[in-house]
Amino acid sequence: MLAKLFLASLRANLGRTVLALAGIALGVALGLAVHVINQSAIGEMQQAARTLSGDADLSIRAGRVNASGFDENLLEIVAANERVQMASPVIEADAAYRKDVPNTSTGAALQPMQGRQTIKFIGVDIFRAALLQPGFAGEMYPSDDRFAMLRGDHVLLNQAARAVIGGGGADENTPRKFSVTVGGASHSLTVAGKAELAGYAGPLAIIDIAGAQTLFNQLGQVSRIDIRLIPGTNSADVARALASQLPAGVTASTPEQADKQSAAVSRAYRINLTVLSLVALFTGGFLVFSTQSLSVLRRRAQFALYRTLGVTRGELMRALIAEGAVLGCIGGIIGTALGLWLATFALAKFGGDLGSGFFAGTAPVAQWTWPTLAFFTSLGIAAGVAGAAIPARAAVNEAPARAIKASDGEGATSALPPTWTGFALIVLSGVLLLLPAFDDIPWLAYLAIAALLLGVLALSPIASTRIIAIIPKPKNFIAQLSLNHIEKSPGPSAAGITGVVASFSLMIAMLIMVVSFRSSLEQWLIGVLNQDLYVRQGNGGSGGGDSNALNTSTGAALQALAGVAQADFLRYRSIVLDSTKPEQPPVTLITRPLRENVLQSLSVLKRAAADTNRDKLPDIWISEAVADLYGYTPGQTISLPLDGTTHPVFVAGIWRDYARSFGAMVIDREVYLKWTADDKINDVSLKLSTDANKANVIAAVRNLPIEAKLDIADAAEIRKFSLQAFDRSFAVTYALEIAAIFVGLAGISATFSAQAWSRRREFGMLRHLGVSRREIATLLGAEGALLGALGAGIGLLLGMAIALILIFVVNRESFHWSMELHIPWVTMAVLSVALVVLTSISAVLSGKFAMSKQVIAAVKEDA
Amino acid sequence: MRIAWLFFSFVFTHLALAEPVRFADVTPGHALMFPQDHGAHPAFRTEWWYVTGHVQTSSGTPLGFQVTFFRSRTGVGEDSKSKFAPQQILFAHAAIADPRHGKLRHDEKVARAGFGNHANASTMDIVLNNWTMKMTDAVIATRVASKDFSLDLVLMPTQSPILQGANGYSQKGPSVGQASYYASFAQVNVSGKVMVEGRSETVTGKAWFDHEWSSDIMSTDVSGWDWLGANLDDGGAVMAFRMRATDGRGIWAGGTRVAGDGKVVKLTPDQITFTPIETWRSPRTATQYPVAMRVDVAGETFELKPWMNDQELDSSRSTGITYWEGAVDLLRNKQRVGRGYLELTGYGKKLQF
Repeated sequence: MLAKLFLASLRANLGRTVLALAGIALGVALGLAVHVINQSAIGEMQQAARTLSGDADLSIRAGRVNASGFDENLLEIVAANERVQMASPVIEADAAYRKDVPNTSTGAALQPMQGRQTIKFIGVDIFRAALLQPGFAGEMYPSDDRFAMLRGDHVLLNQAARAVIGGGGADENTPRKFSVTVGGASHSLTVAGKAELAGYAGPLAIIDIAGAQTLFNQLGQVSRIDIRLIPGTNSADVARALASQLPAGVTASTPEQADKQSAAVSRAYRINLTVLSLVALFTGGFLVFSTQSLSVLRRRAQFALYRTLGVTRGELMRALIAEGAVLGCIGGIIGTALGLWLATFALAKFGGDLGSGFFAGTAPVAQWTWPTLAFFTSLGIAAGVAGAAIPARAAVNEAPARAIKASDGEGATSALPPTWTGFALIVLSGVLLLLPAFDDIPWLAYLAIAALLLGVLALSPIASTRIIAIIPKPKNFIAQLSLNHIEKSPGPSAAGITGVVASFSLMIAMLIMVVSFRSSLEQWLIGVLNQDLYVRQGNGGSGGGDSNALNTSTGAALQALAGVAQADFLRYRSIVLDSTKPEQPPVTLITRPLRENVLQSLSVLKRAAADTNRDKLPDIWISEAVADLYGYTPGQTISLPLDGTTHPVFVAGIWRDYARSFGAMVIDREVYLKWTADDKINDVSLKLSTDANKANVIAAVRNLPIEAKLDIADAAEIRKFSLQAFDRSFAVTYALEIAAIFVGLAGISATFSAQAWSRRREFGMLRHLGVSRREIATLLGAEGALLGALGAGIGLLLGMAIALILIFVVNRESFHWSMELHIPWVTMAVLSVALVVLTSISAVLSGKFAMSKQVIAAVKEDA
Repeated sequence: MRIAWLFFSFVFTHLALAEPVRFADVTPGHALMFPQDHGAHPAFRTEWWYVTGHVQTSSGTPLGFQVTFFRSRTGVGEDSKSKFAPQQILFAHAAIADPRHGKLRHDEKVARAGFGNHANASTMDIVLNNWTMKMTDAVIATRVASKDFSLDLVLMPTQSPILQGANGYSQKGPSVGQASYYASFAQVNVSGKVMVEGRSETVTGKAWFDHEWSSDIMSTDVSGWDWLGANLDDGGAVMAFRMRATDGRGIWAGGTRVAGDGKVVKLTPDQITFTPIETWRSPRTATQYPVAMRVDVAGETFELKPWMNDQELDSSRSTGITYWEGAVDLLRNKQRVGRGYLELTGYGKKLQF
């Protein structure tokens, strides 16, 4: 009976109910979509990695995929372990497909860019690898050459790789040739057959390991040893036993640990984005709050009647919360469906990368589990229940005798939580901020933001009343009316304002954070890119690695070019600093000539004290992430594991690095070359002589008599691309923010339409008193603007506070880099004005009812 | 005479055109030197070490066994600087003939030489994953372990090696150069352990040991061969083979008869005949094998009686060829006079490579 009555009420307020539903649905949908897209992308990456390791129980690695490997002789040691059934060495590297372009005068300049696509090469000893991944054996094209697969220039390609090289057709099943560019040279390869690996979708080539070592210039090295253990062996035990035999920087990890490592790379980013995507849901909760607050107020007399008819407080409370739950549940289910559709659509249309580049090139199928769907649906229910709980409490606590006579909208302050809860939440937020991060994710900082937000929201009605009280009373009658209304009925006004404050403050916070980050990044780029031209092998990417490194002769050729005053050679290596943490992604070791002007370009944040005893050890400069993750401090001596030996180095200082959130370290190239025979070059930076013509130098680089396809960029171009990449990675953020703002505005509109209805007698009276429809519209517009201004004011202050938390706590703890605060005052002012205008417009539009003829009739309602 | 031959001969016919690799020649008059010639000869194309024998377990069960290591110079990657270059590939087959089981238990391994896997060139020392064959002080030890069975045997030759053919130069076809270097041990004493179905038992018995290496290509009209190696109960031994053409006719034959007193008689092609008595059809491959044969060597007649019909060995994972390699009793006038192994190849549908 009661349920029927309450559901009828939801139906009666269909417009607002639908709006609240939409808010929740949108919030749930965005959260779920972001989660599913990220999970699918990471799932695909892990699946791909697992596919390439087949049935391995353990994998031995030095650093990340595509990083430089380790000594191949480790294979014999590992294979000799009696618990190892099979040890399979692997070379994993990328090569750029080189389209053999017909030399036409028109298209020649553009062609290399078009023909460039990367193929992943897996070099295996098939006799060993077949036990772990039978798929590597593939299917050979008919040929007299039984040993084709052992030849270093023969490969098996999967479907995607065959699509890259094209051709095929009628000749699909016959060996054919194609070329790739590696290390600056072109190599011709023969397709000897096909190998499809379910679970690996990208272009893939299987090649003999000897051929891979030669092709990728990795003689004596392997990228990985995949190990299959004797059945029944505990892999963790073997990993521990092997650890003592592994050189420094080389680790044995289980597939689970490898998964964790690959997930760790993007974990902070993914959590950040998911939290952000739930902001819309948070605002959706406020929409329920405002809808329910008003709906409860309107039904006060009704509830009082129920109470006098014997309905208990508990029953009433449960019924009202059930209303919210029903709303939340329907919104949650719609949102879940919408979110799944959105994720599937986005994955199909744009792939698995949301702009961060973490998952660039993945094209996963949406992966989700029922528990995930249930979780996001229940978030919708939680938002509905939370939004309904406070108004429900208020309704229940009211004395029926008083309420039954009360007119709408009066005595509604009780719908709001007491003032002390607001202060308590703000204090709690401060305490949370003092606590350190755990789990490498700023969970507590996120909680602090939530507490601060809720605290301020709880206080905002009081604050609004106080602020309005000090505004001098205007002469204008309409203006007086609007001020009066808000001051005297903080309850309903607050209901509307909370949604706006919540979404606006978060938008401002994100804005300040993004602007600060972008300005800091731009300054950093200007410092780092202080040379004129940068050259690297085409398809270099920023990860370094060996497969696309240049050799010293190419470096020397660049140095010798006319117009080049100085050429600096940079080399990137992946280093595992702490082999006891196999799931921690490796650190990038950057080797380059370290002169004082180079150090200036590094934006050094902290140096070791000048008088520190450094024992003539070579200097190493660590990024903030290394300092955070490994606890190193300037002035300390640390050991650097490199190719199996450790070298003591002196931490000379900390520099800022926005490129590698898992840490980077810089050492002098001379020092590095004394330690290792690795003289490869990943990047060359060129300083031009003062009289040099940049265009001529670029032309000269292009005309170098080497086969390498060199990418040449000047500093300005790289800066431009980097900032574009930055904007791309925040595009989703902006979209999520805008979604939250719209939900917030929907709250305002819901509030006004509800108030317009509840104030129908007031408006009717005003009309009877001769106030024109236009004037009532003005009244509503003024009220809306006033509320908007209050919301904007509180939102700005709150947003700035949240921005400080985001910049100095969340970002620092998530990505381990600091940034300088930049506040975009003008943009903030423009947004605030826009908000005031929008609330005003939405108030006028939703108050249309108030201007109708029915209003005049409404005065008689009670008579 | 061994299976790998057929496999490689076809492969290398085509390879020879593509790969200008010089393989060492087998020449008459070359003197074999032991023990170093028990080791590997990596300059040659193909080589194998082959043990077949019969043992009795401590509980009295008779078992036949085969352990073979092959080495192959592929001609691939000869110029490569990579230690993984697949210049030398090692294969191994092992099988146990247990009449109670009714068919062979067998397993195989394949690996490229390097990183722990090797066939030493100066002494018999072969390691292929965890399978080994090693000669120390004229005693050969071999260990193979598989899921269903394992062998851990010590092979003690009781006589000096039999140099097959002309002082180890063993002619394999009518043309000069179609030959191998071939040395055998007959009457090898076997002791050690055999594990079958989780039960390990000590065993003793007798074995035949072959070591053969070569580079040459067999004539392409050979479709397969029959080979017999047997220890006679009187201390003598017999080895005989014949090469068959596609029409089943013998193209070439050869062998050695060692008398009980150690006198060695080399057999000429016309002194050897193989006559099928009974055939068996494999339910797996539908191949008909003449599993019981009459073998006439220089006027003597031996009747070969298989321990069981199904001794077909599927090596599709390594050499890719299915053949029959089985323990047999040698009968004369229905009386057992010895035990040996019979190898039958090329009886399947026209072999596909």
